[in-house]
Amino acid sequence: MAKKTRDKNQHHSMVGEVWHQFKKNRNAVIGLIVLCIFIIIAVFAPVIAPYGYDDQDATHTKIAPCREYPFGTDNLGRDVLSRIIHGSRYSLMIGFLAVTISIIAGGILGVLAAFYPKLDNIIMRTMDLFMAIPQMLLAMCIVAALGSSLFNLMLAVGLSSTPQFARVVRASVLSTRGQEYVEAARAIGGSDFNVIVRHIIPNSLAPLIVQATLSMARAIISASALSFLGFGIQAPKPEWGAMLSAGRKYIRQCWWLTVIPGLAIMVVVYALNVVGDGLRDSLDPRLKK
Amino acid sequence: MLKFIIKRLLWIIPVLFGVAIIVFTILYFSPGDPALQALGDNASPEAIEAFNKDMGLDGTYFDRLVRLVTGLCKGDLGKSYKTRTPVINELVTKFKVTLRISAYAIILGIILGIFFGIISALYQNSIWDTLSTGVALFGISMPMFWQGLMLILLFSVILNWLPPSGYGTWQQMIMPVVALGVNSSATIMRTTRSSMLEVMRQDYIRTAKAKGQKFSTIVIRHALHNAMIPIITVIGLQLSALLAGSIVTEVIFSISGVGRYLVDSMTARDYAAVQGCVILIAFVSAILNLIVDIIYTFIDPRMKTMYESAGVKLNPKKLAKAAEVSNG
Repeated sequence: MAKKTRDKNQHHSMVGEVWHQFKKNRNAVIGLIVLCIFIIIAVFAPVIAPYGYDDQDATHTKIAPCREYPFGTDNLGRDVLSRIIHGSRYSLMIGFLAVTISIIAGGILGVLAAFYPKLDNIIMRTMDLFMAIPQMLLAMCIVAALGSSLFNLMLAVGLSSTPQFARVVRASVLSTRGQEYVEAARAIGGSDFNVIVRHIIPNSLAPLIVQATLSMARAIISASALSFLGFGIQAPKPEWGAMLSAGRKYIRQCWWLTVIPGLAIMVVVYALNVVGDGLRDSLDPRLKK
Repeated sequence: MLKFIIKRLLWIIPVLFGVAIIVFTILYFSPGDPALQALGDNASPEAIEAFNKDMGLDGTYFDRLVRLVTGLCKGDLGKSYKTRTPVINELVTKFKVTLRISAYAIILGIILGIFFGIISALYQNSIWDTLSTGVALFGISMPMFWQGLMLILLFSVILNWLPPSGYGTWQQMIMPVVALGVNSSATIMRTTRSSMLEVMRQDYIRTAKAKGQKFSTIVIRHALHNAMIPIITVIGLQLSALLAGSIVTEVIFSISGVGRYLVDSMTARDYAAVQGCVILIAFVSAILNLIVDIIYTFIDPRMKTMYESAGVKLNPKKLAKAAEVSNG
């Protein structure tokens, strides 16, 4: 019996183990499903959406949600549902790519800082300087400098959260660096690059994954806030923040123009947050039994 | 301890110069000519030249950087391109507004956050716990600007109870304060809950219970006191988040504070004003961080010894490390 359970445990890979823990968290699983649905919607947006995102119809303006237009139409007679569906592409793409940018930039800086004590002070003090500016402000300044476009918005949001990633990666690598297997890898003549890529990075991933999920939620909020303020994606593109900013003028007549895009942002961000929480709990070795 | 405070205050100076250089450099590469923006497209070349000279826009990158840094030493943040008056004057009046709203918001956030955090930690897995953790998760998932819009929709448009915009009367204060405060309270609540849950499992809590201590005393004196360090850290982080959050909130509620000034200046390409706002906000967050670090020592005397031992040598490396440790 004892042998059997041991065998069973041995067959668990790391991913399997995490999934096993993750499954127990009902909220997190629901969040994951919601996220998958949004990803499918984003990928197949042109197929799913009943209308194009900029199909104007002057005879059907400002129609309240009804059977034909489940989310109503806006002041130009565009179907809000179709715009929300197309808009999911922007939010998910910005969230995903902005975090990718900050993982790569922050990861390189963090690994360098942790691995080369000479660089540590220079890199981390510079990161501190950037962290002294609130993230949103930094992103605003970067967008102002680069000009507003989809790519620049992603770059601005990604760069502005790079210092946080550099910190997490550095801390995580520092704790991995002292482990015996790293010493062993060096003892058998592994180069710095080899040790970092083969041993340090895989073993420092856990906190990074959690940080990435939660950062994606924050990136989506920042990007939509920037678009809302007019620094991000411009009309007529159906970005949710930009839709809110356009619908704001009609708050007295058309409540759906301010409620629905915000709900869409909230649902995606909520899903990311519960998935992030779930991952953190299942990756935390203290909670493992 | 005093030595530690002075040293941290001195440490703010290089940070501020660093921030100023970063912001200046980013904005230096921004497209658009402030002179054309301010004077109109048909301005004569002489007028543009005079404007650039007056605003300190002539010269190379390094000339302007040196001018900025020397100005900063004298407490001069430059002149606004739009109004041609010193930025600092405008900032001071606007900052009072932002500060007042943020202060009320953080007080609201602390009260709600700690109260519900304790409740849900004490009655873990009860209906109250499920409810308040659920609401808190929604709270952190809601974009602050949308929350503001929803408040306007509910209380101004539908119920017609509160004015949708402006600043001055207490009715006008309610919605911006709630919009800002609820968001922070959600984060504070989550931290309070997890920190309290950890403390409530400790042996000394069992001892206190066993000796028949009153329940309220156990919760407040024994548990909350020991759970406070992460909570204070989060409150400190929330203070900076509030300053940034005030940008959207002020735009939505048409409050003329620093946040709205920043957005307006950014739109008008009034980069001197933008620079001033960013430097001011960085300065205020640095001071707030210092205050948080000092508060730690009141809650956990061990921190005091750590600061003092770090302060004996004039070593910024150790000081920064101590600050890092205390920041979590």
